[in-house]
Amino acid sequence: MELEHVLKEKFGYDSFREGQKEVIESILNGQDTFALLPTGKGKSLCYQLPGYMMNGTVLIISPLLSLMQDQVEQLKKLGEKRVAALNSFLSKEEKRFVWQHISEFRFLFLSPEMLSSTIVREKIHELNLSLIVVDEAHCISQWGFDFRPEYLQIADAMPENRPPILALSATATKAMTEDISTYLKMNDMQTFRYSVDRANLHYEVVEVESFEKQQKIMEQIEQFEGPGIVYTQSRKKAEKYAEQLASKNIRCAFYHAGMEQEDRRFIQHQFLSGQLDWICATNAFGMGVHKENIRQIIHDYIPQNVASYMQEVGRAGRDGQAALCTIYVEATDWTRTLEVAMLDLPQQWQIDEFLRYTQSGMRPDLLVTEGKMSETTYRVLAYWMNHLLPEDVLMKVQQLAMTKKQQLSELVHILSGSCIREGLLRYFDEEKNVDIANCCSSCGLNRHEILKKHIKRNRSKESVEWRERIQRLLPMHSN
Amino acid sequence: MYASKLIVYIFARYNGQRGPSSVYHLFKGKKSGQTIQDVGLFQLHPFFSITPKLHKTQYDTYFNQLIQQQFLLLTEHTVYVTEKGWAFIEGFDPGPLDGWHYRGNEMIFMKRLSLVVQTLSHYARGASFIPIEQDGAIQRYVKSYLRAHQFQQPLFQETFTKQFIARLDTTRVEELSKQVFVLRLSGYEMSGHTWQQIQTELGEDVFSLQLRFIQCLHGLLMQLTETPLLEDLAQHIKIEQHYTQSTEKTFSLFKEGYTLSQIAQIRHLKESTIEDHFAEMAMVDEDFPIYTFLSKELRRKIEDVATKLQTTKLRQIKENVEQASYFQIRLVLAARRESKWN
Repeated sequence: MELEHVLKEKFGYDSFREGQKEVIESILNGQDTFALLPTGKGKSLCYQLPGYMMNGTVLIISPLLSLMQDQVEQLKKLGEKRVAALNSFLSKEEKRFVWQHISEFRFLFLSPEMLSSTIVREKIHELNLSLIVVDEAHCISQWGFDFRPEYLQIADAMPENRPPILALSATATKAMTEDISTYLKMNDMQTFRYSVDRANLHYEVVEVESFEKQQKIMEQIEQFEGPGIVYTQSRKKAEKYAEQLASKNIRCAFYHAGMEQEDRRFIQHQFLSGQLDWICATNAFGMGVHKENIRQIIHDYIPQNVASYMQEVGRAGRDGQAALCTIYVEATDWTRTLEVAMLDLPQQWQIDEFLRYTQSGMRPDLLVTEGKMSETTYRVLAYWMNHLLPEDVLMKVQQLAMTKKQQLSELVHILSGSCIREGLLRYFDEEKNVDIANCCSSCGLNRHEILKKHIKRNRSKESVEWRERIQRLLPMHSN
Repeated sequence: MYASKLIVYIFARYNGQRGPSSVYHLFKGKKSGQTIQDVGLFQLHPFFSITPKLHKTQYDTYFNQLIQQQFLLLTEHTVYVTEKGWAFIEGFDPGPLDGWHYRGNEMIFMKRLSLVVQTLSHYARGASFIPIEQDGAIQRYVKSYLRAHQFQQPLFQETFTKQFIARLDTTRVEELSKQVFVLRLSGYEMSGHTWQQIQTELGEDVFSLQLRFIQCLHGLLMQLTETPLLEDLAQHIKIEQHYTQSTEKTFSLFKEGYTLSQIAQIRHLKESTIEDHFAEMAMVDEDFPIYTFLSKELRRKIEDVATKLQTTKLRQIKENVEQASYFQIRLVLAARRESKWN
């Protein structure tokens, strides 16, 4: 009874979604808990609500800056003032502020690399923690698609007498779940796994020749309603698609990490508020885009693994209405994706350079500044150079390459299988129990039964006369 | 268009005495002796550091275009404005830029303003929102600003809007620049527009639009005393300390009474570097004791030669005033304040 009361009062919901209540009760009982909830099903509530029922600070470890920022803003929107994030990207002024008030926050977000600092660790030990949350917990598993070595230090960084840990993920397989339990040193971990199946998502694979791919994507968008996202592999391609669509009078824009911060926010806002119907983007788009009514996700390439694919298509149909997830595949896409996946893996010469730097007393992270390797490459390499003999590192890298290759072929296998939904579910050790009409292109699918037709609208010309815009932004009171 | 004109306009001021990258460094606000000194020499304060985030490739595209269009001529590392170029910038007015005093800090004001507008816009409709500005310091500043002014009162909202419109109305920039400016603001069900979108809507290139935006912002900031609600958003934005960090250290040793060569020794720097610092001080500080380093007569001589020969080239002046050292010539040129441009 009391849980529902807090849910209504703080979050405005009348009832819990599947799984939330069980997870929350487990935490409130002081149990270490793992929860697998599908994308877009309210994972955050599982720690937000307990935060209001316990004294002290909820410490949330989160791997991505954009994700962290977004969660902070979501809490602020709910009226929470005692929330902050501590990461290496804060301005000096902001860092000082957070540091000075660190014991006063109800929710404190932390990026995992901060845990390497002794000062941060000492500070954490001084805090009165009510709950430790490890978000995207699959990052702790080196079998995971985005292994984050820093996650391995979480267990050691926590105080002896710690509160319960809640590990969250939308994409952990059973093997990864075991890693999560082991590396976080969980005591008698309670596991809650909910089906990753999203019955209202309809999966479609369309095989094309390379010359007709773009045209077919355009036709689909002109024919069926949005809102939607077209995912591409390169920034250039995203811009090109957007230009094409604009010429067909579709309200759209491109989005990628090469744009300045403010422009990126503008695009997000425009999409959320319905001023845009389509976004052509790299996978940089999506984090923190809480849009309920996305009807279509189109891929013009094969994502690197099942988890990325699930995450991207998972942004469709959060309102429960039917949505179509189409992936256009040409024969060479498979190898192209593999090439991109291999880009971030360290090469032999980079391993040698790393060794040369450390042996001659230079800081190896200069390799990043000097443009000799990407940040991701450096992160992977630095971790293994610290934990293995140099001669074993190359072998490790080859193992990682094999893993990536295998992960990609898992997805390719599912997409070309006899039922895409069944393949996805089996990947997470689930069975497909119900038959769904228009399940996927392998089972047979009629787009017209899933989507409404696109209705051509005239793009509303927004006035640019500056006085008028100010008056519309700031309407005067009528008196 | 605006960007191209501004670039040609500044090369015209350099008067065939600087190379292709000089304008780039000026726009970026490079804190080197040369760039800073040129600011004083050619009276370029308005344009210093107006686009700190400018990419070299973006600048190069414009520069090469101007060469191709034959507005500029490049000979042996020196850029000249052609006759065609002079015609191109005839009657051109760069507007109320003031880069020297803001150096990118105007964006702090913009972020505050933007968050205030976003808040009021949503408040008027009783809607909650996710702020465009996520920087905690900006959010706290705006929060205390709104609280101090009792923003829930209709009177505040009305006064704010009136002051905003009135101020923008009297800002001396083209209407186009004002339109660009307000398109970067967001509110209830109205997002700001990206540079790309504004380019499509207004038909000018992205870099020109960005410069127009800065121009409008500086123009707005210049005269705030009659619009106190905007003035309150502009606190601690103007740069009060004009020295680069290294010059600042040299300056404080100089105040303690150390000589130039002593300072070089103490700081383990070359004397020529310390001379750079002194030239910067002479340029920025009107009370710089220039006569510690040369006599009044010598100064007049150097100035006369510079005026007569229409040059700022050290070697040319030195050839005509042999008794002066290069350092003395640099000091005199740096301290020249009257300019044919103003």
